Amino acid sequence: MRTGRRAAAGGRVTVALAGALLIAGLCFALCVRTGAPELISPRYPIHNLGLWAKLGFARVFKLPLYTQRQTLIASSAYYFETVARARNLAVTVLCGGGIALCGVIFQTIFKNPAASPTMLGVSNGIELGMLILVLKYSADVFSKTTERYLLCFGMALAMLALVMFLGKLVGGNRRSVTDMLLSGSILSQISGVVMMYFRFNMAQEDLQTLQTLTLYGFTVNTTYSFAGVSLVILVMLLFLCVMPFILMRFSFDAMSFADEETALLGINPGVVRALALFAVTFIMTAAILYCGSVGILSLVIPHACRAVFGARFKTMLAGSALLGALLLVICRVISSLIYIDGIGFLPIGPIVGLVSAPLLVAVLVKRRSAGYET
Amino acid sequence: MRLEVRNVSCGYERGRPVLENVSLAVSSGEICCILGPNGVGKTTLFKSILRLLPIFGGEIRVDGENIAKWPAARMAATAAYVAQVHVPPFPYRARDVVMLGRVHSTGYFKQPTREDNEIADRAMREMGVFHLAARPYTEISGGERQLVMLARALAQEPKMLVLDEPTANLDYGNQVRVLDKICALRERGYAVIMTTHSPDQAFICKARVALITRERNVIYGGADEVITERNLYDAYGVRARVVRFSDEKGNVTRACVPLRDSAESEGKI
Repeated sequence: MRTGRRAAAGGRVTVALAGALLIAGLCFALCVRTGAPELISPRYPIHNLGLWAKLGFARVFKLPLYTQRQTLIASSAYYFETVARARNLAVTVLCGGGIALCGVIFQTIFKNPAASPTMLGVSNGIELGMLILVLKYSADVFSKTTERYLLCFGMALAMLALVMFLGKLVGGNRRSVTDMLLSGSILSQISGVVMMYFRFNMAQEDLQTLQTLTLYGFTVNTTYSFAGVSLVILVMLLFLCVMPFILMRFSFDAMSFADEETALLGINPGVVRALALFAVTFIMTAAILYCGSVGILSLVIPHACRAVFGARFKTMLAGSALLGALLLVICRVISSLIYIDGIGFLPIGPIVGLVSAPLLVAVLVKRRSAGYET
Repeated sequence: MRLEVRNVSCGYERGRPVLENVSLAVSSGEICCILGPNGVGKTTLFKSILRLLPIFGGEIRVDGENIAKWPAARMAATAAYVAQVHVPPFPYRARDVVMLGRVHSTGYFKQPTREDNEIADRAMREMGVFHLAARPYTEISGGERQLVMLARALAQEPKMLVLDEPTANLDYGNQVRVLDKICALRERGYAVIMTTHSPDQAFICKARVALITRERNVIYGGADEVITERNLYDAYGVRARVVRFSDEKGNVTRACVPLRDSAESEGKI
């Protein structure tokens, strides 16, 4: 009995330590993200931050400076960039955490460590949604807030439904996740062909817009006021989507078991799964719309997290949100430090891929050598 | 508590029932073993009783009340289910698995209370697996896993335990240990329904038996009257001898011994 308690206490200390390390890492990465580009790039002189702070204080304390705010802002070419970058940072943290949560939720409701929104068609659906947006609105696409949410969300949901339908068609009554993953990969190929066809046949300007959207997301090319409203909407919607899972953190553990068992434990697995699919698709849509192709995080982070924090949904939620945010911010830092003439800053997607792949391999190798499942 | 299955017809497709007009009853302090050859409908009957499959005729009542429209939480508070093979995809600690038995009382949005924690700990102690509390469920042995699942079932505080081949894949020692625990639970007043492929277990547990024959007839009664050489032949198509013996305390029990020429002598019984 004592051994059990001591082991449990040891486990709690490890989890707390890992959580503290993650928070420290995230804070450090945030500091680097805010400070480093100013220190190393002539494009962002350090006085820029000073101006931003001065304006902020002036606003709070109603100093005379506040009345001249617009003049001051207009005189500074860098003010907008600083504000936009701080806002992008907030979006990056939210999206990183959100995508990782989506991975955890998908793996739990599908009871399979290989299930992730990217593998089950959600990312492909969002990309198709972006394609339709560009075909319909061309360069105006950046100003269509509602349309982009609705269309990409709708397409992601439709693609997910298609993957599940095809999985059922292939597997019959087995309802196997493997069948669904296979269907997801088939539909991913088909959606790739569709994307390729339109890429070859669209105007150069539209192609450029589509490229920007899929690589960078909507965090580029946004005006000050628009980005602010959009950020508030994003925070509110993410809050609404994530809150049910925080409240259901205990009952969600039961979802990891076979549906029959879950039902006999007193939980209706169908209702919970429908709610989860809807919310996850929305979070993924918002995250990919803002950050570009970074869906791979939803596969990598839950594995890494489970290796550190254990399998409980409660700790997985907190741990994966932190780790996802940390990894995406680090990738954002790296991408914003690499400036290529003629192209601009490197998009975040490839950096995420480069960082995630070795991390996933390391976690899987550790899992095998330690003899446990992640 | 009394579970009554009255003239139930069940199966996977309406119009093609696997079993028809099945009737049986189990009360508190009784064990009911469902026996029968592979593919005859044991699991179908089992799932129908648990409402995992719809029934096409008849009714299932608990204490006289039809359970067809019961909410999932009420069903969970009445019957706890232990699946046959159980390997969750993620390495939950054994105690986390047992705690899940409390889900029906917390509901979807609440967290377990101190009382729930105490109930889970008590269930683990009763099953003798408290020392495994912090161990990953995926790393413990098959026998320990089955006892952890029984602890989870007890944590549900049900009136009835429904066990799907509780000794499948266990070595002989673990089979006996698990059966001991099941008999002890019966003594404490639980009603137990279990499927098994071993008629001997029905004798060991002094259970009531629902034997499903190859013609899908259900023979229901006490173990001594249902498990006879003829009925075993009707169910499994092999000859077996039912032997009686006494233990050192003088208790008489029975066991089935298969006869080696059973395949050759099919039809000669």
